[in-house]
Amino acid sequence: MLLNISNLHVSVGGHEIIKGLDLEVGAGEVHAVMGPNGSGKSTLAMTLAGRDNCAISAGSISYLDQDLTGLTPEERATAGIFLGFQYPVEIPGVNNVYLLKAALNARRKNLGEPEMDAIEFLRLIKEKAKLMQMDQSFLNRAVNEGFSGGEKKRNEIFQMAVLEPTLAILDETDSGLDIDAMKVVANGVNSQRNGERAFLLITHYQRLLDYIEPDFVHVLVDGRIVRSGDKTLAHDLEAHGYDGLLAEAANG
Amino acid sequence: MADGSRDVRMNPDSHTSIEHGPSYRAAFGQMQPAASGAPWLQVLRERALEEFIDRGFPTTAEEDWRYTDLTRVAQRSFDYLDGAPQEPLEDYGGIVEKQGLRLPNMHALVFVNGIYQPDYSPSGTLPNGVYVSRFNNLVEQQTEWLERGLGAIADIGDWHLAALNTAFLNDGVILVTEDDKQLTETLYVLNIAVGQKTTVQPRLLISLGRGSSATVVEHYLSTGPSFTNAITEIHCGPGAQLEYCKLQQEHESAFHLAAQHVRLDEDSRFHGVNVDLGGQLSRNDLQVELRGNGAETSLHGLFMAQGNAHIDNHTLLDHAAPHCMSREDYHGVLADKARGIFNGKVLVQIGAQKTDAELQSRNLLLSPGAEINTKPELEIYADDVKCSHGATTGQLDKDAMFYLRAKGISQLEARDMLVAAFTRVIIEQIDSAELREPVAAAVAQRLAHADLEPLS
Repeated sequence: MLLNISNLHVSVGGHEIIKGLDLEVGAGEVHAVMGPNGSGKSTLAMTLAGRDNCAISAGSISYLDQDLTGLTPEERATAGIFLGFQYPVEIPGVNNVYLLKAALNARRKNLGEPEMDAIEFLRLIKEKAKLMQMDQSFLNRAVNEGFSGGEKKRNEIFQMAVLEPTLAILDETDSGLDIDAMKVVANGVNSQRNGERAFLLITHYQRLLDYIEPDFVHVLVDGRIVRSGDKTLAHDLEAHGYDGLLAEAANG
Repeated sequence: MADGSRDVRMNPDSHTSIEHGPSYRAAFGQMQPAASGAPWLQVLRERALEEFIDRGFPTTAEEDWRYTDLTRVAQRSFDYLDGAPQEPLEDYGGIVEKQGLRLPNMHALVFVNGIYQPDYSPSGTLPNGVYVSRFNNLVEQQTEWLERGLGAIADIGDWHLAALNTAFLNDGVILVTEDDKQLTETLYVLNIAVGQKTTVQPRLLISLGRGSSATVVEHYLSTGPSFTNAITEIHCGPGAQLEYCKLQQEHESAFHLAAQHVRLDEDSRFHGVNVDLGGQLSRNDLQVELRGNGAETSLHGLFMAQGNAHIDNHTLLDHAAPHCMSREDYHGVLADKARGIFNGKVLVQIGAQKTDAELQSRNLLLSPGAEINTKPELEIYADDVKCSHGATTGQLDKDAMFYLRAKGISQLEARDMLVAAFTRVIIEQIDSAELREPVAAAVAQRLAHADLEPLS
């Protein structure tokens, strides 16, 4: 099993947000985690990436049969976990390509591979930028600085395409995207699907799943997964909303 | 009124003097007369000595010095004050090679312990009407300039450390241009202090004629606990332009005091970048007097300190004429138990209408034990002005740190990236690209050598 989350409890700022979550993700699988606002979706993503304000009070997370909870964010990243941020951070003065090169070489070092030479790296990022329909000028700008919402999300998927993670967690990558941008993002994700790479798509809306077909859909309500199923579950949610599930959760 | 409130000199209730370890009068008596031997200079030095003995080092009872205690400077022992080497010098040629700047077009003057080093001082070709000389090597007309210029802007009666510098003045550099002259090469003055007890008093005098322009770089290096007390006087004539950069990379045990007193005539422009990276105790005073209509100045500063270093930057923008503009932005980076002080004052005098002034101080604290005292001040006596000031102090942006780390960048590397980004804003203000690169490299090296407490 690639990722195994068992009875996970997470608090942020003293408030318990995730209250006993179980999830298993196998290699090559695409899982969608859906849920209403405040259900703990982003906390789950942040916890998996190692954000220090997400305090694990109980439960376990294993990744490739290794306990993930003791690892720093960079150790997780270089071990192949990628987080596509819901709100990518603007970092003036840090160059987009410089960041990517440092990140890629950190990943390669972890895999025991040599640093990529400059020409090969340039070829790689040009190819991936083309895939994401990103203008070359974006590459040499400061990280996310002055990017529109859609450009920021595209940049996240571009990073993912370059870094080729084992597990990609995409936190509300669809939010704030118009339909054309969504198609580009979905195309970027679909092009990266293979028998090995797993995805955790965290989303509020079903519409992303029209373009990226998940193997499994989970519904997260109040810190717990209350329903799991195949892609048809997403359509049920779209038709009936979260209200029915919220009532179900409230009644235990 | 405005002039009188510029700084509070004495607080009669406070202890206002520091006992000197050595006797300055005795040291003065042992000193050789300046090589230039001009009688007026000897008279000036004697007057400066009396001023200094009367005033002493500034003390923490003075408002402008309340955070910077010079007791350790005053009480340190020294063998000599006039820079004559008393102990074998290390291979300072190697220091010049490694640490000195190598700019493609420069006119360099290198001093070791205040002594000129012709072998390490490549000279360029100066256009007619541009004069660069040492105090100890002046021809007749230049002696007149020196006599007229020395102390004209940095008044020995007004500034303790100018008095100290003048009393023990040995050699220095003078740049004078006639009207409408362009010094295309960079004038580079490197002062290296070597040895354990060295005290040096560097002096630089710049006077640009009407419509002239120049680029000047002052660079300070040392190898041990030396004491440097530098004074620079700058006069930009009407419409003149000076690009000025001071780079201070002294040894971590060194004491560095420096002041630049700048006077701007109408429509002249002074663009200064001040980079402080070294020293155990470092203090820089930059004072710009905008005294002609339409003068402009921009001051950018970067100071970085770690360990137990103490680094103090004081600036004064004295708007004494209408329609002048000033921009100031200082960035401080403090780590470990280092302490930084930034005090920036904008003074708008009566009648300095249409003044346009902006002052910013931004500071980054990298360790819980690091400290910054920042105080941007406006003092305005005119009613039709546009002035703003602000200060920010913070730690590294947690969201940015997490973002970088979540992409696989190590904590240390992420920190360095963010600090480099914070410093780059200032380095990019350096006018010449050739100079920007070595300064950026010096800053990066400073970071790479940082042995910081782990971040929480």
